[in-house]
Amino acid sequence: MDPLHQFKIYSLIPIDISGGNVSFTNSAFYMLLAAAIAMALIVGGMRRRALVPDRLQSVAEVFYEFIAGMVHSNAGVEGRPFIPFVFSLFLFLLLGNVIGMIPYTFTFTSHLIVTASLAIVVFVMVTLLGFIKHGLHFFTKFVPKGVPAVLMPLMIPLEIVSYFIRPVSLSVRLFANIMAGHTMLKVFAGFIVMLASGLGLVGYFIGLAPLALVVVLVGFEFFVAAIQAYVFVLLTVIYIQDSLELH
Amino acid sequence: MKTLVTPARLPRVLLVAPIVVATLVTGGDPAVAAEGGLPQFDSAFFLTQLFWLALIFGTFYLLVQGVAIPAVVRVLDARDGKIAYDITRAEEKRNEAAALAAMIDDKIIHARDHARTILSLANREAESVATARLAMFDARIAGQVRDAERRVGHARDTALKELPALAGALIQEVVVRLGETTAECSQVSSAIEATLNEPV
Repeated sequence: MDPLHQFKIYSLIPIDISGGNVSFTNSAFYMLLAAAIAMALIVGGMRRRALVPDRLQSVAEVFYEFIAGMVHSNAGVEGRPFIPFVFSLFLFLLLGNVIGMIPYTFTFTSHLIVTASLAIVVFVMVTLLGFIKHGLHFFTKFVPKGVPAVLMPLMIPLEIVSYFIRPVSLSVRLFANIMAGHTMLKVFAGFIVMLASGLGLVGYFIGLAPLALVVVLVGFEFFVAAIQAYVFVLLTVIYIQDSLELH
Repeated sequence: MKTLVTPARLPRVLLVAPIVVATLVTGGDPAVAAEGGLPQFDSAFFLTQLFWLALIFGTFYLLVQGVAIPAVVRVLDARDGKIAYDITRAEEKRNEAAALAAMIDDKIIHARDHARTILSLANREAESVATARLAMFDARIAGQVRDAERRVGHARDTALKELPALAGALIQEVVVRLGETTAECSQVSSAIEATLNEPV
């Protein structure tokens, strides 16, 4: 079985707008599912509005306080307006990754176009924020403090490159982690099937090795799913803080 | 620009960015990517991905900002408010109780002092009264004692004076009773006188 087959996009409801294909694909379906589950979790959890929360309300509150705490400790009070964006980004990515761990589902974060779009949104937002807040003074960001003037011709291009590489690293990190993890899972699962079907009884026993590996990999992939969503969002908050404070 | 594009509104404004990416990237040939390469780079689906991502994430963000987060914040603030209110009320009650306790302690101390003052005053009064009465009784007794002593002195003197005569009569009686002789009163009295005047 082709390990890359799982990333293929199918259109579920074909829609064509003046020659452009905007059909509702499996990817779009899972994006919708992730967003719907996130909304259900938060709104449903807070339905009772109890001062002493029940389990679901606790979960919703923990998610909010986690994000709010992260934004507050990194970006301070000025970062407050960004909590909804960071919160929705985190839940979207987390649920997208975790739902993708269910067999036979599709992981929309394994597509570069999706992660790159989100990363570019973050990058442009952060850059515009910097210009709005600091005006042209924003460019002093590329002049690091405490560096002797002799090194400036080297440091400034370096700073500029490291700034513009942010959307690339942000998107590729998430995309590569998820795609590589799922590909590995597929490859090792394929080994088990090949060994069992090809070598008969002996194959069953030899197949236990890749089986154990797949079990470990699944656990690891859940971990990676959560961590990558967290890292994406943490870096977003750090970039916001960076633009707000410039140094 | 500053008032139009506030930081809070930025995410909404920028969800158009992915469309820009789409136009940049779809320069590639869809056929090649679909056959040989990764499905990720099959540009036939780029537009649909971007469109639905923008739509779904945009709507999700608006719902989170408008509905979900206010719901959470409302409860968290209500809880913090109630806790703060409960704590301040508890603090107030505690201070009230402390003030009352202090007042009670104060009153007790005052009452004790007052009692002590009254007690000492009463003591002093009683003492003076007692001393006065004692003195009075002492004086009376002393008077009575003097009187008694005077009377006793008188009686003794009288007795001493009458003693010889009494003794003479007694002895005369004894002698008569014994029946030997009738002694002479005068003899007896002079004998008694002599005995009485003997050096002891």
